Amino acid sequence: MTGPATAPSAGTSDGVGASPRRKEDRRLLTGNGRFVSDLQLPRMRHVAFLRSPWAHARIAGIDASALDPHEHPVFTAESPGFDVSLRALSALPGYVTTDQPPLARGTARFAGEAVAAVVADDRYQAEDALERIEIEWEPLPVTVRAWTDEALAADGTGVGRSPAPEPVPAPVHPEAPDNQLLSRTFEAGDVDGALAGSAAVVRRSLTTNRHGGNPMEGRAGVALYTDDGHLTFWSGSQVPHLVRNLLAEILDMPESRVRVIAPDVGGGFGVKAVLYPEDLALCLMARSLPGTPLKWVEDRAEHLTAACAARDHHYELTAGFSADGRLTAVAADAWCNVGAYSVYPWTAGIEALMAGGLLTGPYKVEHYRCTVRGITTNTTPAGPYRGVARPATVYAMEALLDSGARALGLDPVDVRRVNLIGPDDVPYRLPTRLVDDTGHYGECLEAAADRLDLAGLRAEQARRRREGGRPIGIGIACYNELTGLGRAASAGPRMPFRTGHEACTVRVNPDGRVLVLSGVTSQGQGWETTAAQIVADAMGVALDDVEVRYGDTDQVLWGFGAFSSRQAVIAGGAAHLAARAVREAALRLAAELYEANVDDLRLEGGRVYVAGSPEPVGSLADVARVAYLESNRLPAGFEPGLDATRFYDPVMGAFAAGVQLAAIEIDPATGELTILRWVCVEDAGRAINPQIVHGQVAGSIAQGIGGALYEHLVYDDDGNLRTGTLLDYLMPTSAEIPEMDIGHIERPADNPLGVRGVGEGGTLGPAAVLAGAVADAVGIDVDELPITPDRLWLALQAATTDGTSR
Amino acid sequence: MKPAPFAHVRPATVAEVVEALAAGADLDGGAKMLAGGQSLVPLLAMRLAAPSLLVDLNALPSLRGVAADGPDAVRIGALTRHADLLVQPYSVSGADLVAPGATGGALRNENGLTGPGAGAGDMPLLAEAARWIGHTAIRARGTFGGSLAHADPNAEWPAVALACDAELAVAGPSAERTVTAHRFFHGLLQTDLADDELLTSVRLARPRAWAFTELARRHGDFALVLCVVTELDAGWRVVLGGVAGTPVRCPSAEALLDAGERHPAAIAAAVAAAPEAEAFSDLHASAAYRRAMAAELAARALRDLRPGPGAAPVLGTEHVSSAALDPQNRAVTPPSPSASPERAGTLAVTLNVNGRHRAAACEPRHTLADVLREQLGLTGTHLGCEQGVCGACTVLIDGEPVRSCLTFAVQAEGAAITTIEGLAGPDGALHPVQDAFSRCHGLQCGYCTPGFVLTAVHLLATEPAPTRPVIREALSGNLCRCTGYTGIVDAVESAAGSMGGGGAG
Ligand SMILES: Cc1cc2nc3c(=O)[nH]c(=O)nc-3n(C[C@H](O)[C@H](O)[C@H](O)COP(=O)(O)OP(=O)(O)OC[C@H]3O[C@@H](n4cnc5c(N)ncnc54)[C@H](O)[C@@H]3O)c2cc1C
Ligand code: FES
Ligand code: FES
Repeated sequence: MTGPATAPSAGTSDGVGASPRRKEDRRLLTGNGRFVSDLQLPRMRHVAFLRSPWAHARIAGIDASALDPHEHPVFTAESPGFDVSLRALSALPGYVTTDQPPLARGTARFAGEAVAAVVADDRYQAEDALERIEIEWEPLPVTVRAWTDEALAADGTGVGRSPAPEPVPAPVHPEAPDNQLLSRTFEAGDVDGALAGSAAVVRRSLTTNRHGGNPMEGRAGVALYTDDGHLTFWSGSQVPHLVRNLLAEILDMPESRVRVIAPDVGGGFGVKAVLYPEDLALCLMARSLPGTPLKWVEDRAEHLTAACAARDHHYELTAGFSADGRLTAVAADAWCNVGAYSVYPWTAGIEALMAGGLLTGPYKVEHYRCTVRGITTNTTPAGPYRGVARPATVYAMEALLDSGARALGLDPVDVRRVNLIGPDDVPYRLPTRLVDDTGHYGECLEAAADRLDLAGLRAEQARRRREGGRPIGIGIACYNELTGLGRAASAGPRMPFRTGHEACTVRVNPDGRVLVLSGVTSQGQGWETTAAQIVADAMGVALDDVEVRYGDTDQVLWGFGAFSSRQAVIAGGAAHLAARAVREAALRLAAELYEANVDDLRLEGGRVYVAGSPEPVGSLADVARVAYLESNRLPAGFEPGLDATRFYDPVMGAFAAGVQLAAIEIDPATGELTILRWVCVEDAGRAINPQIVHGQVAGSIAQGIGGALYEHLVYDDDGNLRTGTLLDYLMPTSAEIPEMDIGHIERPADNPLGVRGVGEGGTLGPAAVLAGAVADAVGIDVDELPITPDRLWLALQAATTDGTSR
Repeated sequence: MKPAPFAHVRPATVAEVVEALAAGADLDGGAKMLAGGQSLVPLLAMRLAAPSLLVDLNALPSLRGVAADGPDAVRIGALTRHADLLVQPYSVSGADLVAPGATGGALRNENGLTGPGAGAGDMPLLAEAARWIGHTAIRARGTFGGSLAHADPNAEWPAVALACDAELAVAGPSAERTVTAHRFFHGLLQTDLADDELLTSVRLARPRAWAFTELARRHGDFALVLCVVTELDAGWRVVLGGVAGTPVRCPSAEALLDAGERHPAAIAAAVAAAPEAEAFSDLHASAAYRRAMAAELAARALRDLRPGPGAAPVLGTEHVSSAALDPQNRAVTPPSPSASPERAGTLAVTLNVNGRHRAAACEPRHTLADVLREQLGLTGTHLGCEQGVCGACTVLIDGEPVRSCLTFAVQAEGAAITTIEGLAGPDGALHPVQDAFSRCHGLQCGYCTPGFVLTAVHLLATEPAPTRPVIREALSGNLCRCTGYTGIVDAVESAAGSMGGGGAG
């Protein structure tokens, strides 16, 4: 029931298109994983951070005199070397650049911000020592929300043109007296004219809930600075090369003396694609204590208060429709809570600009205006989290379509059908100038409707409405996931670098076996296996003979890392190109050695064959031996060695289509929502490893469901996080996540492997699906997430009393 | 998130506990009792509690068990694990439970053990309520007495106790005393217990009819609201949990039931109007919702009333000699975890891990998880929350899944510990569950995996052919952020098949 919709692409039993056992599984299943938190080194000591109990307060004094400075070195913003900052840069006009110090300097801007750090022999003693540091605080007024009721009222019109923000009494950063770090208006066509001429105009006002990645392994780092001036930083980072690049710059060290190693990482989801102040602090401390490896492992309480979160947004939306349900115009105002700092390197613009850039999703919209803003507040910084902003914008767009369908009395699925970008429309230029070259949304929608048995469920829904029974509802989400962004569409808001490319080295060792050094990292995506499959296929060697290494900046030439669903497209492309290049070099050498025409040679299973003869003439091992050990046999013009490094940049990117449909049942007496059926159909292009693709989709849907129904980082008015443990911050378990029916259509993309990214797509649908399903079931618009039994029940009560339930 | 230092003492008798508490009272941070640790250790880890002395009750096996207490009541030892109450009929060993001041009224069999059919019989209300408490690993350690003493208003046992006219036996420096549940709960996490008193056992009236209904956000969470309805000899009880700082009775609804009213809507209306159902708002639900749900759950309880079983079979039981009342004599069966004198500072500890005896030097405050990871190099046990919630640290202790973040290493001495490193065969062959995880893509980053695998191994040992819903429920005490659980459920189902359980849905 949960198998792929189509047969996997043809390939060898473990090459591209097959699902061999993952190379990483054995060590992870036997307790031999190599996580940063597992690392032990001689002389290693442990670090704990003292964190601000105040959301906004001036630091009047820090007294660590109760601690012996040799036993327990203490670091603060005043410590030597700590006068540096992270500065996330963007060329966006009007963007306000702010500093993020490694330890709070003068002022703490959110509850949980690291203010001091202490070193001890183990974590227990480090936490003991924290209790002996005294800080004198002068509390300041606190801002928690990114929008005020006045701002919403002043705008209210939802036409993408709201008034300029006002100065606030205690701005989070002096550089931004109104707390606005950025704003941008996207505009195309004539929105006002199109709205005026519409058969129906609908408005929605939506608030999404702050939640975060919460990988099961928190952040972790070990920093070792040796007195010969080398820094090694083991970090559970998704972006080790970016980390090296910046650490070298801030610490004023040659990059060649900074080595960043990301071994096994216990989940990332974007949260670990940020260089954090704690990372910088740890490295600065290590530099002050040469020869002593310093280890910090984030605990869950720290993660919830200090690792970046996301999706704390408000949207004022307006859409116009023609009588047949076509969208005439979309206008929007969006406020994104960026928290207290602009995260490095993604900036405070990461969510807001993505929200404005992709709000219209896979729907054809000509007239579009959207003003987005990033507002800083005294809360934990917001940053990248799987799906960046689009779980919210898909919710926004689908809410508009549901409202439109209702206003016009049309079937909600039909309204999607007429608006989706289709194969005949591509290349389709979105109103924000991105180009969608897929158009397979309709196909996904029809396949999903079939798998869900939409017709049968509609009949059952009607029956229950007639005869009684718990109401059921069906929700819909169609989304375009922009994956594998190349230089022309690079991820991130006009940062001073472009993340469009990735390097890969493929090396044949003297024994004929292959080593792959890949620039991206892996936090569970199975890259060790997928990359090996790509290389094994491209070269013609057995999967077992391919080893993959990644995550070590000393081994790998260059890589931006794992984020933005870019692994398969960009790093896969680089691996493929490098493997082809080595294969060619090996065959050229073989042609000389075996006195054959290179075009007649092929490599298969590590053996060299000449066309027309069933027996191999030699092996890759024979060729490699000559390349490395028997230079006397090397033909003229051949360099020793057998390897190749290739960069790949898709220049544009590959849109992946996805549709999710679900049926839910509501218990009106308690407001409890039960998921009856969940269907997802995605076009992931060619699936390299269908089982891994499947797992990515399932995992991302589960996170989406978590965000829609359970997960909420709640702050009180004083800026204290009230959901500081996993007993209050609720992540869904196996008992909450439904069985999922996941189907794939494989429409190869225009890149060497024909692949599209799949890491994020699943998270985009659930909020829209569940909110839409509730409205479909009981006629209540869900304007605020998460959907909790309490809220649903209260809304049902209100609807019954004032008769507004449809 | 690591506890502050404390000394650890493991007395073998109630009297020694009382002595230790008295001695500890003079220390800076005072003394605190440790039972299952499933509520206390998270508080220690967050340093919301920092006692100087931890008085470990786990060497008092005589306080673990269920016994009939006359024909119409059962007596539950304070150290009885939640899991002990799941399996009926009760035949838990080691129970030596007597009512304070009783002169031969309580029952136990010859050797202090209660055998099949010779125990307290059935009390299905307890099994139903226990099902709602946390997850397998929480129920394996958490205790009945600990839950009552902790007095979380959203917990199951306090409400059950109130609904069964519980009498709580309390030992302290002076003579043992009995407190009724009604008087025991003072407020949110507040009870009638003084710092130097412990709960030893609880007498619950056996209901003639009962119902237990609960609403929680997720499977295994503390209740948002719960309702227990019982018919006792003394009359009907309607008890609500999760609406106020303590579980509360609803006298108006009880009066209706006593007068013969059985209509669910009538009872619900009484609850809805009851001043006792005046509820609080918190993160998870508003006061209005809680109050309405109290009424709804009461109505459901009425629809779901079930008969209590008859009195316990009085088989092979005898009157207790008054000698058993002497606290010094309580430990009639050899205690499995032996008593230990007070220990502080760095200690030499020997742990039996994966069949090998391993020596470690640790402080009493060091969790088993940290000692396994940091000292024994067994880094396959992971930490994801240090609060007992995520399950990443789950290990098997004497075959039962246990949170190693909520267990101190000193407590695990003498027990057989199995970690993920101990599962594969000596030839390196993967355990069928490990193999199935790999085959079915039951892992992505692999961080949660050791906890899931060990939980699944335990599940399949107790239930060889679980259905998918059963698997989902059994694994709900473990969080995975990567897989969406699909591959994990597939893996456990497949492992059941390959281990011979097969035939699962
Ligand atoms: C993830 C998770 C989920 C949970 N879900 C639920 C749930 O759904 N429902 C629920 O009810 N509980 C739940 N719990 C809590 C669990 O049931 C605890 O076991 C229980 O609340 C406390 O029992 P304990 O034996 O673990 O006590 P401990 O944690 O050892 O002690 C708790 C307190 O009681 C005191 N104490 C213990 N025993 C005695 C005694 N005999 N006399 C006097 N004082 C004593 C201790 O000093 C301490 O102050 C959950 C816990 C976790 C970690
Ligand atoms: S349950 Fe122990 S670490 Fe999460
Ligand atoms: S596999 Fe990553 S948390 Fe479960």
